[in-house]
Amino acid sequence: MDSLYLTIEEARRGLAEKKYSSHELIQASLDRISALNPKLNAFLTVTAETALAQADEIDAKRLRGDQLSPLAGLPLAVKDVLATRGVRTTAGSKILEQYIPPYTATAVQRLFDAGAIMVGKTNCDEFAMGSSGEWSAYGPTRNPWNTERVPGGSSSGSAAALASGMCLSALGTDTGSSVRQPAGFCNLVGLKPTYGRVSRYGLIAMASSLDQVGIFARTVEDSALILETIAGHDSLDSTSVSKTIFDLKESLKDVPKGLRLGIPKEYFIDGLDPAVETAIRKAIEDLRGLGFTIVDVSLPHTPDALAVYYLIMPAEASSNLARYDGIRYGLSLGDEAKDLIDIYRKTRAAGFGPEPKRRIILGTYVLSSGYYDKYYLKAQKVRSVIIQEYKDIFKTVDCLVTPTSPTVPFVIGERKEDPLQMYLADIFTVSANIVGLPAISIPAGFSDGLPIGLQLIGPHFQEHRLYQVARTYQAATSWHRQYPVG
Amino acid sequence: MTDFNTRDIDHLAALARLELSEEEKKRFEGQLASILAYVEKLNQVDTHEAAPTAHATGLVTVTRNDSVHDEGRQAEILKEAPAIEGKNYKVKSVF
Repeated sequence: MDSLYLTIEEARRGLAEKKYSSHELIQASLDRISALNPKLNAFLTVTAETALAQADEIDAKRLRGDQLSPLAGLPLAVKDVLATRGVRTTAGSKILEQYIPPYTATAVQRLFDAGAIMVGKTNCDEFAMGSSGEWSAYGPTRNPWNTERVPGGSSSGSAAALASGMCLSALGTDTGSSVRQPAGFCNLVGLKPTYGRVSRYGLIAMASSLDQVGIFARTVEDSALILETIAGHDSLDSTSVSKTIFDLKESLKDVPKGLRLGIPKEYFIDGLDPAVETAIRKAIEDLRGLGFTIVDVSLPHTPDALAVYYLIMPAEASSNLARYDGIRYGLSLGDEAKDLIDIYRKTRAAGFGPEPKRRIILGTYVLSSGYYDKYYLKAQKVRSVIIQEYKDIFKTVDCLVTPTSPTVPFVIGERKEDPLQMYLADIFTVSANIVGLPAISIPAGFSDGLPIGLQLIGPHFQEHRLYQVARTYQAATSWHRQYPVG
Repeated sequence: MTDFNTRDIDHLAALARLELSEEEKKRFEGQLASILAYVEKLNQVDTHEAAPTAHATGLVTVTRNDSVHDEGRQAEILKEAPAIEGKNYKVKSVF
């Protein structure tokens, strides 16, 4: 076994038919990481020893004929903003370089409870702030499809790890694009569930009203299996909900005829890479050919969503990042400080990189006296206008079809010095976070060997609709079966 | 347009308990001005009828009993602190 270009379904079958053991599967994952990580920088921490020990336990159970959990013995990766008890969790920041959490994120715990084995923690933009993976304090992750290019961000390492065959699925987090954009850039299926679908407990907070745990998978079926495992109410996150999740396997068997797909004209704008537009238009025609009804729609406030996002997100981030004070955990420059406030100021200056600092200052500004009404309150009002616009549109269509990103993966370094340019990479993805909607990016073609993602956005708690459309498209195409390296 | 200047940055850095270098202040000043110019477009949106969003999916405030759970992790949690004394965090004087 050289790489793990397998679906979860295939790996489960391989294990059940004893083609290979869990130990072999995990070893293949670790070998692949050893071979490719020096170049790709996808993992920050590899948990080889515990992973192999867990695999041996599961192999022993299988040998005894014990009943095994659905994800038993499968190698998965976890973004380093999800806390893992006893395993260093950095959030891609120097301020948490030595942090060993005393608790595990609920989404991760649910994977563990289902038998999944974590092979390591993946690189990401610092505190999940970025759209390219370049803002990690531990160096940029590289795109397995072209190592001169970004894999997207902020869940850069999870995307690169799965795309390069280091694991079978990976968790990420998505506040404005951070699962869907890297999934699009790396030819993967990336889901951001409805806000509240998955517990945020243990997700190191950036913007709490927008953050959601998301899933990288090779196929729609794999994504659905992971979602079923991690979704549901959690008493440790009061914004998580117990809404029933449709039986995804069942709903995939029976896709209703004539679902209405809306094509919002505001997502096909100047600045959209012609190669991306061509691929997405082609995919829309393919969807029409597959029996879906294509409807042109308009969401006039789409351009405002990014402006709303870049006010609400830094406001919440500046509040959330106030907890890094050098007192309770993480980096501390206490010895050099003259008093308590000086500890805060020095620790934060040394521990945070440029992007968190920029967002802390911007967020502090929009929340500060005299500017709160003008910026933050205004943004929250426009947010309500945007939410209503989406509620209205979903009275006429079942879901929306858009490009995931306006461009193909860009060259490393190209946008780093211009934050506004970097922020514009999120223009098609932030609305789903602003409105709390589920959205998925699926492989939809290539331009000069670089992947292009198609985004589906659905009504609240209708993940199964997205899966139905995505599964139908996937069954008729073979993009998801193309892999970048050996 | 925005009237963002270095004095503002100093004030914000003080509020945010964040020490910034002169170079950072200069850089942020320009970058934040351009971001704030970009978000000016929101002034074009009519929000007279709109209430600010409290929760995107319409969830109302969830409450629970305020009960204590001892998870027996005190030592594990304290181990992460840079300075402790007994079971307390140790800090510098406030003034």
